[in-house]
Formats: sequence, C-alpha cells, structure tokens
Amino acid sequence: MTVLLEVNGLKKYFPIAGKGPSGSMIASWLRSFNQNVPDLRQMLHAVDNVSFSISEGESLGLVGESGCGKSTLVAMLSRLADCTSGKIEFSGRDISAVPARSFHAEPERSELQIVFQDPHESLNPRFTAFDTIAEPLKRLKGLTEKSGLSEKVGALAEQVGLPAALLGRFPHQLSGGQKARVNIARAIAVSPKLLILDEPTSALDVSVQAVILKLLVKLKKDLGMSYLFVSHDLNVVRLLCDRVIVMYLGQIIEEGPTEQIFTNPAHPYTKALNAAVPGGKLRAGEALRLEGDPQSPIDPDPNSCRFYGRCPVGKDVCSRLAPPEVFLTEEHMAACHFVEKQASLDLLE
Amino acid sequence: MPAPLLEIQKLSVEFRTRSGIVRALENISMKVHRGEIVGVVGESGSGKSVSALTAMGILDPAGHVTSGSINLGGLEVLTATEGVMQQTRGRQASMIFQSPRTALNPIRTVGKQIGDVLRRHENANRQTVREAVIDALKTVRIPDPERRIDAFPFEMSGGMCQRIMIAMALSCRPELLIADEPTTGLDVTTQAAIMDLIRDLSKERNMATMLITHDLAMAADYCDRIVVMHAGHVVENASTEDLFEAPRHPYTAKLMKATPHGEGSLDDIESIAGGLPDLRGELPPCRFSGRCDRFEEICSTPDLTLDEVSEGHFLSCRKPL
Repeated sequence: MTVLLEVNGLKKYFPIAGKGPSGSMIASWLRSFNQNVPDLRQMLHAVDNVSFSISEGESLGLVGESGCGKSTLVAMLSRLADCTSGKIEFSGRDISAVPARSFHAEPERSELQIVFQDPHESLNPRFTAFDTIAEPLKRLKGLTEKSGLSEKVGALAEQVGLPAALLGRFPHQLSGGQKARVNIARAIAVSPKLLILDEPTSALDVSVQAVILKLLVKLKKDLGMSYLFVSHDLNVVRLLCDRVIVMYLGQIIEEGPTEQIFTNPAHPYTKALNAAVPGGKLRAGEALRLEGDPQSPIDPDPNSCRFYGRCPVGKDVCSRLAPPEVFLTEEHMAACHFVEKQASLDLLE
Repeated sequence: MPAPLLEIQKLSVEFRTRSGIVRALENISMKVHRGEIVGVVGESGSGKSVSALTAMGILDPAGHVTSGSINLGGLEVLTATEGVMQQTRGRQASMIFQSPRTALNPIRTVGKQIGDVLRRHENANRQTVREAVIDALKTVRIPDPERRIDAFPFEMSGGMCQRIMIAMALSCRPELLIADEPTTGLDVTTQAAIMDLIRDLSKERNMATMLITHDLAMAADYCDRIVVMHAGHVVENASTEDLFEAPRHPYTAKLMKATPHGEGSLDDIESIAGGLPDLRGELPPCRFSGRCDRFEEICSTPDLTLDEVSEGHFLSCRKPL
C-alpha cells in the first residue's frame, strides 16, 4: 500500500505568556539576528515528537484523554495551525513548510478535509445546508451556478442521505443526525483523499450514531478515502478502524492493529483505557483504575516517562529514563520499560 | 420490601409553549429504594431530566404538573411549600448536574461553594465549616484537600470539578442523590473513576441514587435497576439482569442493538429508524408506534398502561417481545 500521509517528529510547543527569561525584549532582539539563540521561555509541550503514517484507503484511529494533544495534532495535520518542528508529508509533498494562513491556496487543501467535532456548533447558523455544502465547491473548485453547482450539491446530499427538501433549511431547523450529514457532505464535496474526523458521533444520540457510522464506512468504500478517526469512544474506534494510535500527554505510547490494541494491549495506560470502557458487564474483565491527574505538560522532564506517577506498574527507572519503543510485533509498538516483562508474564499465566 | 424513598406515581408534566402544549411526561411511575442505584435511560428529549427536576421541585415555571404525585421520604413534593423544599434540597435530596464547569460559580472558590450548602443547613461556625468541607473533599478523593479548598473551578480539570459537584451534593449526607448525566464530556478514564465513586458512596451511605444517562452500556455497569424512557413515557422498568437477559419492549431491544459494546462488527449494531414524535398535539397511546416494526391494530387502542409482567418487571407494550 502506498503511504498517503507521513508524519515525522512533529512537535507543537506553546509558549507560556510572560514567563521565563527569553520573553524579555533583549532576548527577542538577539533572536532576530541569530536563529540559534535558544528560546528559554516555559513551553507547553502539546504534541511532542509524534511520527506515524496513514496508507491509502486505511482508517487510523487516534485515541487519548482530553488534553493529550489530539486536537492540536489534528489542527496541524489539517494545516489550520503551524507546527514548531517536524515534517508532514502528504502524497509525497512536504506540506508542513506551508504557513497555515496561506494553505488554503494550495491544491492539497481540497485533498485534506476535516469533519469537525460538534455538528451543532460547527455549522454557520446563517448558512442554509445548501450554502454550507456549496461553500468549499465555490472556494476551492471555482464552481458557479452556471457550471452546475446546484447539481453537484444535490448529488452530494443524495450521497450522504440528506433529503433534497432539507437543503434550504438552516442548522436550527435540522436534527442532530441531519446536521452531521451536512457536515460530512461539506467535507467530501471537494473529493478529499484524507478525511479527518474529529469525534464525528460524540454529540449524537445513540439511536442515530449507527447510521452515521455506517454512512462513513460506505463513503470510504465508494470514494476510496483514508480516514483519521479521532475519538475517545473506544467502542466506536474499534468498529471503524484498521489501526489505532494511543496518545498520552503529547506522545504516542502505543500503536498497532485495532484488534491487538483491544484484546492484547501492552502499555499500562492502554490497559486502563480499555478497562474504563463502559459495558464491562457485557464483557468480562477486571477493573483497572487510574488515580489522579496527568503530569503537567509544561516543560516535562525529557528523561522520564510521562505516565509515571499514575502508572500502576511504574518503578524507579521510569522517573530516570525515557521509555524505549518496544515492538511486540512488526506493527505493534508500545513505549514502556515493562512491556516485554509483562508480555512474558501474560504468557506464563 | 421497605417503602421506597422516592416514589413517583402517574406523573404528567406539560409545557405550554407558543406553538402548542408539549406533553413532556405522561403518567410516569418509578420507585427508588435506599441503597439502590436506578438508571434512567433514553434518547435526548425523552423526559429524563424533566422527571429529575420535577422530583427536586425545581421544574422551570413554564412546566406544569397536570397530575400525579411524588413522595420523597413521606413528603409530598408537588404540594410542599417552597420553604419546605428549600429545607429538603441539599439535606434530604441532592442533585449533581451535567457539565460541572457551567454549574459551578466561576468567581468563588470551591471551598466557599461547598461551604454554602453546609451553612444553609447546619448551624456551624467558620472553622467547623472549613473542616467539614475538607472532609467532604476527602470523601470524593481529591488529593491535597487543604490546598485545593481555596482553588477556583478554572484551576481544576473537568474530572476534579465533577468531584467538587459530588462533594457539594453529598456534604449534608442526603438520602436521595440524583445524578443527571454526571460524566458527559469527561474522558473514559475519568468517567470510570467518577462512576466508581458514585457507586461506592451510595452503597456506603445506603443512599437512594437515580442515575440519568443516555449510555446504556454505562447503566449496565453501575445500576441495579433500569428505567427506559421514550418520548415522555416509561416503556420498561426492570432489574438490570432481567432487562439485559430478556428485554420485552421493542424500544429497549433496539436501544441495545444500537449501542456499540466492544465485540462484534458494525453490522451488528443497528440504528433506530425515525426520531422522537412531536410531543405537541394528538399522540397515539404508544408513542413508539411510529418507529416500531411490531406495530399492529391493537397498539392503537387507548389506555396503554405500565403493568407488572413478571416480578419486578414493568412493561408498557401491547406487542412485547
């Protein structure tokens, strides 16, 4: 399979306002002459050295708790935010070099689209469904009324199962499921190669969730798109994704095929995540609970595991040495000191 | 069996709006015993929150109770004066609201906000209140309570804010706790911790707990009994085991089929066709009939009631599974 998107060492640091010596005028003046003057401000490490790839036609799940950097990563991948360092290669071209504010003029803009989180909030309240779906077609494809804009919007509405009669309605006149359909139609209007779905069903009732999920699977098959599926609903990720990435405090701590992540998680955080999924009574499994809150993401110690302190198996070494990336199989990676030992323990049991 | 702490009987609530009368609840009945966690499950708009707000006596003035009774430990909530209800709320019955960030006052420290409840109900001086607040923070397992007592809500994570809400609700040791979607918007890991806490505390203190949620999988994990609501009706009410073993109402069965639960593929889950009916104007006796594939002539005959079909299993359906 050809690689569609390759991310290498991607980082995003946010400076903490007004803290640290190099926030001063002298330091910023010096930096204007010499790029090498280090930035000594306190930094929030939102995404720290993340690397992964998405193949054509693959759907990749991205899970993690709030504050772990999922949304920042999505903003960088969809080129709505600039990255601090690192490379984003999209169908062979490095798009991380393009500033976010001018990315809309690039051809990749229409190939990389995003379905935003909350369909109630992310639709323009003064746009009808028609306007919303037509907007990217006008902006990015230059379609006009003359060149068949209405037909195209009608065809898209049919594709996502939105009755044509609803196209003239405003968001407040649509139900949650219908709004989700408008959102999806808008994103696929410009026939993207990669669709980023940021919690597409979390705001929907369970009664309509299944229809939307099935629609997404069907569209993927019909249009040959790749998906990056961001969610904290692990039950949904499990249904939809081929591969899963688990993030914790800005880093990828486990990565592997979906079934392995769910049936044989290696990292203690992934185990706790799995144990926390509701519906445990329907499945058998012992409760593994995390205590406390994550560490501060501001200037974390590079020589320690970020999960240390909350980790049920954490030992002294975790606070002194950053965990290595252990490959359990060729595709299944976990960043933990104790993965191998655990794996052998599981075998013994 | 001892008398239930909360007993809602044949409660009907309607909202008079400009575009007509919305019959939000119709003849709903349920009981919550001490030491029991009762889950109220349904889609949004099914009347879960309206039932809870009515039980607490804080229904919006636009809502009118047209019939029924609510008995809370011997007190008739619907006829009680506001003064009596103010004494009851917080002391006998407490509520945890959705989205803790908006329910807490952003410009007062959490210690003060929890202290408000204690000062309202107990004659205590400043020092004892502070000690009681620290105790309350300890019960909800907030680390370092002596320092956290002076923190503002924005200095805390979502999970911590929800713990504060729980501490506030439980500070006067209520007998009834109503939790309205206590974990929406929280992470799965935090959700599990919060739900464990609610379960532990309600068992420890022998509280009657009403858990409102739209997540059937979560209700299955934590509740002793589940009440399924649809469009202002209670359609089924059974112990969790009974309900999951053999759901009798078609809506309950469909809700289970629509909930992803780990194993299985996308083909195993099915959505429920259609939406909730418009609650204005004339409605069929069974409000699910428009979405039901077992619908027959008999379903249109009036006076559909919630009957006990087997011990402790209540059902409101003429064509049960």
